[in-house]
Amino acid sequence: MRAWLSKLWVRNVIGAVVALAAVAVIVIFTGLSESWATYRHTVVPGAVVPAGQSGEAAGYTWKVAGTKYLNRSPNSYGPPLPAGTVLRVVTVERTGPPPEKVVCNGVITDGERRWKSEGVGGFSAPTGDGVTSLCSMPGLLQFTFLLPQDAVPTAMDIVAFDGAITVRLLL
Amino acid sequence: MKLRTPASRRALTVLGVVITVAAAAVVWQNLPTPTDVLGPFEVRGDAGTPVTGRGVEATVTSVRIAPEVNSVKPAGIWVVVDAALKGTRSTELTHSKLVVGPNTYTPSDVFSLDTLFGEITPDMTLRGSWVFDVAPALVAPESSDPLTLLIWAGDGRLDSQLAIRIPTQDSLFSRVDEVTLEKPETIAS
Repeated sequence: MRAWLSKLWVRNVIGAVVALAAVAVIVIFTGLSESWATYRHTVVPGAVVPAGQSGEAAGYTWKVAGTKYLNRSPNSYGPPLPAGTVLRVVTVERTGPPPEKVVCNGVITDGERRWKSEGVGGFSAPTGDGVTSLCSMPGLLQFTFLLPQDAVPTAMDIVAFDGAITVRLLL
Repeated sequence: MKLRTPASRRALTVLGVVITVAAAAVVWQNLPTPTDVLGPFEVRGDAGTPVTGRGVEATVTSVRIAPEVNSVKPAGIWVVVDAALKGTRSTELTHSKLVVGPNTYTPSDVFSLDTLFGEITPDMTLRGSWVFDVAPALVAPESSDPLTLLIWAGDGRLDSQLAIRIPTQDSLFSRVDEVTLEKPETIAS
């Protein structure tokens, strides 16, 4: 036994096993894995829906119902659009009853930069019947984004309050 | 011939344990606080030139000392910092503080609608001012200590924080009788 333990490769294996066990203990018992998972959910979407198609995420079916550009403020009050900017309005179809007490935002991206949807008091386009900007309300979801004129968005994310990307809808 | 007796070996062992425990106690007493561990990383720069961190790029364009801003008098004296902010990669909520001598000041909320407040977005420049109510002695004409404007995005934890040095003898620095604030303006950049 002693001779066997004196072999270098045996001692290396024992050392590696002990090190792996120590890392496993740290990951499991310090909440590191939970923190890592929380972070990953802010980077990797729950699902990616190709342009023009529908897809499942978080128990709902998602689809882009329509998008449009506006080159002036949709509201009769407030300031005009900043120079060199446009508005992109994205409407999203979501099946099923809306989740209760859930806050979410739209975030549009061109693959490198990310713009959050306009909030209350911003340049949000008015919502008509059956359209809402609140995830906890029934109807089509509508998000308005203020963008530089040269921005070419490729996708819009539905992002939960904690930053987790529920679904990515390709445009 | 033995160099060490069993008694001396025991004494050395005890001494080693005492030193190890004492060293551990010293380290324990000097462990970094959560504020230190999660604190921001400073990105230093000077007024007049763009300073870029992870979430925000900022340029201090001028600093004015005035006894009145929008006809409002302060408890001390107003320091108006004019700046241009630009988002780098994502929409971020920015914050600022002004370090003057031993004191650190948060922006006054008296002029909230006329000062830099709210979110910045990528490739759009937000121009405006922050106004600080500062102890007059710290920015007296004979004082040559520079001011430092701190700017960060989000909650600042483990993130970059701009530290922009503003020399009081600089051409960007002026003393005026009154300042009338202009509303913040956003333009695509």
